[in-house]
Amino acid sequence: MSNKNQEKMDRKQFLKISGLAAGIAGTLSVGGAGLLNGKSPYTYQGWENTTVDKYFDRSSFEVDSPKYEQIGEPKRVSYLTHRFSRMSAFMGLNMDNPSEFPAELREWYEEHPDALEEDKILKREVVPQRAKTMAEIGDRYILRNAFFDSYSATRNTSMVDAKPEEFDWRDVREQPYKVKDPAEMSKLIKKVGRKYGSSLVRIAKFKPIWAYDKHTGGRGYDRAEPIEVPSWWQYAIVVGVPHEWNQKEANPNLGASIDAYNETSIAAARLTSFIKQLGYAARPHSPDTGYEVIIPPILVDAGVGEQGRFGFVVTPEFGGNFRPAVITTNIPVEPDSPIDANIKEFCMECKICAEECPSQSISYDGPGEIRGRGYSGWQINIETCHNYWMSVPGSGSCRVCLAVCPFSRPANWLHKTARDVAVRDGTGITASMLTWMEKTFYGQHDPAHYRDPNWGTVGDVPWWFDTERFIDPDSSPRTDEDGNPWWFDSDSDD
Amino acid sequence: MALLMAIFGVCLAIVIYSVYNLAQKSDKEISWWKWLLIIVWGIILLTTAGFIGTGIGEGEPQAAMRGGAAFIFFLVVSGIVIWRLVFKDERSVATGGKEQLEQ
Repeated sequence: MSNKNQEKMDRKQFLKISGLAAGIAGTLSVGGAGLLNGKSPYTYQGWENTTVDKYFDRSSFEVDSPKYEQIGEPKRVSYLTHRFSRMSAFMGLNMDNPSEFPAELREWYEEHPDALEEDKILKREVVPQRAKTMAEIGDRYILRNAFFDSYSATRNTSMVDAKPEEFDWRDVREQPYKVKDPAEMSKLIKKVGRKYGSSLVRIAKFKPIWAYDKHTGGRGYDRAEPIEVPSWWQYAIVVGVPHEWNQKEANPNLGASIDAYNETSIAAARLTSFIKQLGYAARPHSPDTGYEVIIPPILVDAGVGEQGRFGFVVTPEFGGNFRPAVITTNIPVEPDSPIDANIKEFCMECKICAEECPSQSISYDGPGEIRGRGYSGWQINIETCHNYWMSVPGSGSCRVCLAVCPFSRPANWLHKTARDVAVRDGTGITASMLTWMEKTFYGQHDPAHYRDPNWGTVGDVPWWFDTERFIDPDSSPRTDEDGNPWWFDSDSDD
Repeated sequence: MALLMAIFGVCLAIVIYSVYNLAQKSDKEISWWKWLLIIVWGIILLTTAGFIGTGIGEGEPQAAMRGGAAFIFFLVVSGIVIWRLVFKDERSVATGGKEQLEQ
């Protein structure tokens, strides 16, 4: 009897010990799997991983109408709202004498007096100050600038050299092939677009209201020439890629937009050519070639994502880290639906981008009317945002907002799960919880971290941008043959 | 990764086998909702381990530390509560009749 009890006890003891040991080993193995998953470069969803199957199934999120609201008389966006377009006019003007301004610019400034003040600050303070900063610490950015300037080797900025009536029909097959089924053609366009390097391809019915009122100049247009929307711009095909991972983390001063701009422009150019060879008109609107249309609302129409607090369209899988291009065309396709993935609701709770924005240009409020255009949405302060860009040594640009967006985190199991739950919860509870965790666990930078004299970055600077490790800058001439500092051509890349 | 998942699978099987046999031998029935609590606690334990590992792996040691500390605190507190709920109840069931008679 005693032996039997002893045997029973031993077995019970064994079960306890083995169960406990297995529990500890199992827990550690899950921790180890998490470690490997976190380390995996395949979870860094930059464009270098576009072949990794990690895309988001939008079918259950599709809705009949986009989430922006028409709240006034729809108005096409003024080309003067575009800061670059305005800069080319005002940088050569005496800002203290409005009577010298071209009439159109003067009228625009009368409607937007705050923009005039910020434009003055850019010219008088920001640009000269950046020159001084670069003279002091510009050497830090030698490798970064060399790396990113090299993208110009594959940029074809003059590809679109004529107005739609000429360019869109150039090299188009005379007799178009008859499309059997627009839905099937949509599938083909998406497949081919992905093959051409686009991470996502979606299609919208094109709305003429998304065209600029006048042109900034180029692509066959004179500056301030009105844009007549052609009848063959029936559909808008969206392509796009996220930024390369390391440089997303190295924003603002060691990052750049040019890599993703280049990749998405190449995909758009290839898809344009493909469509033309099937006999249909096509025109790319891409970062490398320029635009006649504004891009974000087209992305919303196509169901790529929803507009986020920082003005970009936030996609469920890449967050704000998505650089798009659009092809306007008349090839018969079936448009996609917009989506409601509770991203707007998430942004209402989150505000991380607004809190970290170096220039505090992002609103903490809900969406409002976008500069008298008749639609609701989030509108950043373009002028203060761009003034900060222009102060940044190295890149001369920013992108902190897209980098700190919680939706832009890597595609490992942890963040994918968090995103998958967030897009399914419209109550805001998950958004509040995840935002709290994001701020408490991961921490936040103060906006001053990104400004003079800190010039900090969002994440770690990649070792291959560490100029001091590889180069002795003092051994090289500090100026080029014209006497300009070496960084003279390496200005803002956005 | 696959190897670790295989190890985890084997460990999980051992844990389930051990717990099942121990429960059989204890002569006490644990109600379904107590099992549910234990399972949920186990899932949170695994999530905590995964969170810490992932945080370190993705170069966010601060998140791993802060989040890990918060999760472990929650696990300890909830673990004590569950332990008392499940096993204290069992003991009171075992002695309950006697206690009632004494009263």
